[in-house]
Amino acid sequence: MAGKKKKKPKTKLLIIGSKKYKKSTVKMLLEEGRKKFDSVVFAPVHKIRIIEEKGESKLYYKEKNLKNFDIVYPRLSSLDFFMAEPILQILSKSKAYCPVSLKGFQVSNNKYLTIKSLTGKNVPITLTSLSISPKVVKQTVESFGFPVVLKLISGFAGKGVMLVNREQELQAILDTVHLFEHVVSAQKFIESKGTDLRCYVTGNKVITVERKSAGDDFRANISRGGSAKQIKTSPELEKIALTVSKSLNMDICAVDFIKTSETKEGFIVIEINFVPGPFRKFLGNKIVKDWINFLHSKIETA
Amino acid sequence: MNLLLLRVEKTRTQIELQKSFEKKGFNVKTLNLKKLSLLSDRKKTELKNGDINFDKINAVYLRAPLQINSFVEPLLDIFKEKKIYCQYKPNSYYNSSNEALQFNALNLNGIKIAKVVTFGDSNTIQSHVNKFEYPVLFKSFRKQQKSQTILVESARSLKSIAKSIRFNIDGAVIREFVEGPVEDCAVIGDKVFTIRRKWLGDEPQKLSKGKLVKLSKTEKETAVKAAQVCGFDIATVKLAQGNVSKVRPGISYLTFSKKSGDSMFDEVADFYSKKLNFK
Repeated sequence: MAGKKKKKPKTKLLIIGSKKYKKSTVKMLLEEGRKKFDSVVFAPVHKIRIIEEKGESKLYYKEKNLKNFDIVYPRLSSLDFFMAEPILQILSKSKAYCPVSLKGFQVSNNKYLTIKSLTGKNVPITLTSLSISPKVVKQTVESFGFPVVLKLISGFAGKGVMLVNREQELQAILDTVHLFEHVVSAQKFIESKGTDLRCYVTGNKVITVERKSAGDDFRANISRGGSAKQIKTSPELEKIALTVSKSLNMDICAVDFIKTSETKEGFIVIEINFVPGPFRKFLGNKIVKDWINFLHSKIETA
Repeated sequence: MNLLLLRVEKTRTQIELQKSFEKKGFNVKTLNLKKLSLLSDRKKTELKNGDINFDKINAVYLRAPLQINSFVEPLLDIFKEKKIYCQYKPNSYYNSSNEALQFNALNLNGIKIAKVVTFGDSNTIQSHVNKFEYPVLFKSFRKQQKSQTILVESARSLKSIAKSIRFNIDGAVIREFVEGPVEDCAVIGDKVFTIRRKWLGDEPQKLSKGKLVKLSKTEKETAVKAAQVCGFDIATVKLAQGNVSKVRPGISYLTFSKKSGDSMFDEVADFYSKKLNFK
């Protein structure tokens, strides 16, 4: 007589969203998630409670214990620092599988630290500095030569990025920056003609998207009105994207490049994106499907 | 042995510290952090300042506010890579800039803390006001800075405080209040100097009015471990009835020197000397 069939445990996915989460992305994640997992819960980060008591850290959303999930995918931005850091630390010590790391969150949200973390890893990057005094920024920019890209370290989604063509422009910007006491990163400008490449890393899989800026904007951020299409990933690009993601213990992220003739690879890394958008308008649910399939494949390791 | 004093402002503390390091035989240079820039290319990261050759620096004493953590963290990384000793380790500034992260690190490492609950918005606080034993200490944070600290006596008060939050906050930390005096511990390696401050109803008395005390062996070990967990060899650890309530970089040199009769400047120079095996 056949033995009693062992009941398969229910698979549970938790998605933690930013306090400014995008509804359309969450909707896609929930739809695709429900096709693969028995249960999918979405918790906006600002509605979570972190309880620290007697050597134990607990995470709750409403009355749900968030440490009881097999897989947790936090999609958090620099707006969520206060809650995101302890949550990511707790998840790193829990039994649940989490495709992103606290280190990845901290590094990807500091534009200078992102570049610094890639030095000595044979990853093409451009000369980048970090200073806290406008006088030193000015000296650095003069040594780089114009044009130069200035980035405010607290900046996010391209809003804190400025292209400076002349000394007069630089002075006006530095006066403003000084007023708000920002830490400033200066970067040697690399001509990209408004085109950049985004590599979506999902485990060991890399999907590349070419993005074009809207009009004359030197930034190719889609959130600023650009366009995008999927292209074939070259072996060099794949190797670099995986080196970058693995150096930050990130199984899901996006690595942004710009094309240039100034490096032997023909591109440089400019940014690591902790919470990439799925480019629904151009790619449909392709990226989200990849994320969900990958997360589901991790059930057995969780 | 070449030591660099790296600071934002020239203060009496820095001058006294320099004298103590020099008395111990260190060759001391000083530099304003504002004159420093960090430079990264494909091959390496360098510290740039025309006056200092960083290849010849063995140790750094750093005095920098937590607000510039995005500058300090890469700097601490570079010190580690270049094997330059600094009293603060990488991640220590990130850790201490976020009180919720610091409590988590302390708790996960077995350091005794009072019960702490972290919230991300006002509505969530309002629906959980009945889950605390009062009084509690309420702290809210906005733009990565503390914006409010209030001792709250009842659920009703907490609810009205949460309701009154007008701006979007980063979050709030609510800690069960431990009654009694507060101990400020100046931790220098494994040495601990403590000033006890009486609780005056709403807040503790000023540090300068407090009294020098000796901690029990357990409390002393807790203070040293708390500093280490947070990545600091030199730190101020705040205790209330053996519970750690805060760890921050640096110590109040002048007050602790005056209260203890020992020069904290000499203690720090001595600690560096031993740490670097320098005679």
